[in-house]
Amino acid sequence: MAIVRFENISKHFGNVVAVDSVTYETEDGEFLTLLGPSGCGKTTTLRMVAGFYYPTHGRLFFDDKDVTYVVPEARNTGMVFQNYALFPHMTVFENIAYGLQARRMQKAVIQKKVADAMELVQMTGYERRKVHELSGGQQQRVALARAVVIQPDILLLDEPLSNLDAKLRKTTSEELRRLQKQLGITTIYVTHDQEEAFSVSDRVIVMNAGAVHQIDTPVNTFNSPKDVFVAEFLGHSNLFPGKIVETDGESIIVETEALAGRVRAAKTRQRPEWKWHVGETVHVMIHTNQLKISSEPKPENTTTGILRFKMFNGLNWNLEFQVGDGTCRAIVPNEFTSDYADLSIGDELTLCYPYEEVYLIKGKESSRDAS
Amino acid sequence: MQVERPKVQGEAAPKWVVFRDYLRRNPMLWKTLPLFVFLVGYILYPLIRTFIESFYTNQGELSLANYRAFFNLERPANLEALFTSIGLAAASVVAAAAIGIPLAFLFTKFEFPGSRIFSRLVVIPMVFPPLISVLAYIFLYGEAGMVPKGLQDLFGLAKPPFVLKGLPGILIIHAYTQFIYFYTMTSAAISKVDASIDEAARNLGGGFWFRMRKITLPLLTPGLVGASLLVFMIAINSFSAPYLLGGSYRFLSMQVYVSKMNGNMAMAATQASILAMISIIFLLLIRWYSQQRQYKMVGKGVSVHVTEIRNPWARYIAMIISIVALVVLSLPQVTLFLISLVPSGTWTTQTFPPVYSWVNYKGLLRNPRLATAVKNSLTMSSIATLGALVLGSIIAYFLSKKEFKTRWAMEVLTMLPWALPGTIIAINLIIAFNQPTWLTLNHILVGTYWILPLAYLVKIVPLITRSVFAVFEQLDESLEEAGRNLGGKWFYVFRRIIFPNILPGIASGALLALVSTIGEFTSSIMLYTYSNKPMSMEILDQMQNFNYGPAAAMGTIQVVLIAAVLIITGRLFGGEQTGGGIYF
Repeated sequence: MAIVRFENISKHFGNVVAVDSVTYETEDGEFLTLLGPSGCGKTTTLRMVAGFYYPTHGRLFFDDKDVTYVVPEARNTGMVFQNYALFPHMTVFENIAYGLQARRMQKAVIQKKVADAMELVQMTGYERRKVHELSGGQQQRVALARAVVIQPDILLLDEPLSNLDAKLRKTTSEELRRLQKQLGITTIYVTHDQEEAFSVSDRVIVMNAGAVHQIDTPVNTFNSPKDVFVAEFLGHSNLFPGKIVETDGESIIVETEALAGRVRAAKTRQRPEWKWHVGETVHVMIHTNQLKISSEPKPENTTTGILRFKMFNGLNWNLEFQVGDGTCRAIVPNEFTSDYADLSIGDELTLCYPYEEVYLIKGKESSRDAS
Repeated sequence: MQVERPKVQGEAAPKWVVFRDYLRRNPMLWKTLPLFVFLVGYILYPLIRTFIESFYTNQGELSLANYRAFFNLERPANLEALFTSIGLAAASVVAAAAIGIPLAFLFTKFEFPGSRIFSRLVVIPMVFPPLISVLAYIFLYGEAGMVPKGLQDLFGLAKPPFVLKGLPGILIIHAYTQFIYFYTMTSAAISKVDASIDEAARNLGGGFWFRMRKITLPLLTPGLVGASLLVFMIAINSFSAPYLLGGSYRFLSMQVYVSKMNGNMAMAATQASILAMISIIFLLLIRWYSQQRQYKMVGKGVSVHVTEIRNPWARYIAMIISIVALVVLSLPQVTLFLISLVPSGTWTTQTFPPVYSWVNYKGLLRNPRLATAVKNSLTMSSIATLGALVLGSIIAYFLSKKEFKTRWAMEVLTMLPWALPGTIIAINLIIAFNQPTWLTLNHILVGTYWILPLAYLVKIVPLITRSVFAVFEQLDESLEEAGRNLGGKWFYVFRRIIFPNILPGIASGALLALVSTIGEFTSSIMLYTYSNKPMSMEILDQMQNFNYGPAAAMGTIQVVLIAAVLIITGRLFGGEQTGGGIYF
């Protein structure tokens, strides 16, 4: 177990800046996920921890040890590769034993440790199989066993679930989470799938274009994104640009053309460290599941929308409206008593959103000061 | 296709009915018959004739005398030749591996300024036909070679410090021309092995030598064994280098030629049979080995990450090695071109030629003797290529798209000439067609113009079959189905979809075959007559008269043609490096 500390780390490939002065520190035994679109620098960051890339600037520490230029084989990290990288000429047993043999352990010890690791990933009985005889899920488990059997200080997972089908991905991510807590290894996980990230992680780092946008718990990341990129990347939200016209002790009032009117937001819902001033530009964020369809008009936080699109997916109805000069999406639960099925395209409806749920994102200039 | 046997009531059906029904049930038997007539008639039958001939003395008696003479310990010339050839082949494997494998690692695994270009340029020896590579080496390192003489001048020595000849000379030329097989096989294996495999091995704590032993070498082994078998087979059959540099050494491939020249056909047949047996064993080994399933990569490939060299010294060393390698590899080509610019008689005692001009190239057109040789080579290669194109395409079509019981026989027979050296193909044709047969329309082929194009054709059928086969294999069957599904009639689909897709592959196969026969030497030297004297023979004559310029000019033309074809077909400097050169 160890703490990984990034100090101002950058990685350039020629003129391309893949990772741009990243600074953060993991906690011991933490499950940390690097989340972002492809090309955002998350895999590059992970590969620097493994030692396959050396940073162009900055230092990397495991606990207090500077490992910036330590060769990969001396770092004691266990990595699960996106394509698993199982050794094709070896059996399952030989694959898992490889790291222990590299550490010159005794045969009996290796036998025991491999058997334990295989039991841990529920692969007992497959020792003598060749790796290409295994299914994708089994290969993934062998890769995991191979990485944890060496008792690494840090476990590195590079999109380990991306080659599995959707159903297997869900059960495997649960298993991964259970296993990580059981072993207590500090884990860095790379994915572009936010659901996967949220369900397994203690903390999530959202990256884009080489820069870190937010480091937070999954809940905080989703509920209180620090900037428009994070909100847009995570989705499930409606964003409208606006300007603060009034503030008082409890609430902030924003005028937005997109929603054709004024929006009142509770101060308790906002990030505590942010201060609000009249006249500054902000984005109003309303999660799609907070937008309600109302039968009678309400005094505030309400607007009229014209239905443009509707889709049924079982639990919910996905609806899209035109409001003011923008569009907004709503996800409303399917209930027998509600009559969304009868709505037709072009219907005019009243939409409202609770005061306590309206979240404001600071404009770009000011959000940099805050973070 | 299983069709029920016709029920025979009472007495048995007449034999011809049984035979007719048998053919109906197995239509591939008669559909492939013309191909087998060619394969058996011109490839297998001559080989067997040679084998039978080896059991007859020159007086026509059936006996084992030839073999007794071959393995005679009291007059061990032949045994000596056998062991020299085997030793040379083994040494060639080691030398070619020693150059090819490290270069492949250097260029494939590491990134340094220029590594991309170097990795493409390293295959330049591929542009040499065997005879021309020996020629270039003689110009460069031979008795009057530029390098030994240059060193002699530079240090004021009494005689050149070294001269390329004998076994070491042959070995160096073999290493130069054959390291490519190790280079391509190794770099193909390295790039096929997912980079993440090596990263996983490092991540789990394996040091350099541990990874080498447990991961890298085991994964490379199949490719290296394949390359070793191939180089051994090529080296034991090599003719040009032993012929020009062998001196007093004896080699099996040379002995066949010497026996034939001495008129001892019985001994030539015996030596050819023994050499053919060795070659066929290696052909079967290579075929068997390539069918052993090599390691399958599991999981999807992700982008390849190349190791960065951090240490600046390592980068410089890598660059210096690359530059030295490239200079050494391209010097023969440069020398050949330089010599081709030297008019005959102007270069006598000087280290470097004093006069340069295009006169030798003009001579190729004006001098009737040279022009005839060039014309002969081009004509005969074209005839052979056209013939081989038709045959090879049909064979490839059957091998790729049809299932039939005799498939293996067709495959082995087609590949047979690939393994046999030109000497043996020539001896076989001589022995089989020195009397009228229906295969040759009751003519004696030996001593006529047509025996040489036939030898070329036999030699390149495997080459063309292989490239057309690859094209057919790559052709997605669903393309044709999609074309039919969208309403195209069979010929429309062929014209609009199949033909455009297979044309580039077939054309590149034909071009490769064409240029590989233009400089053919080994069969030519045994079969040519006054009427069809090819370029390689004229080169030899010019060399013997010390007319280096015209010889080099003809060599340069061959090199340029081959280079052009290789570039057009993307084998040289192309993205994918295909396995090996065009001679095998």
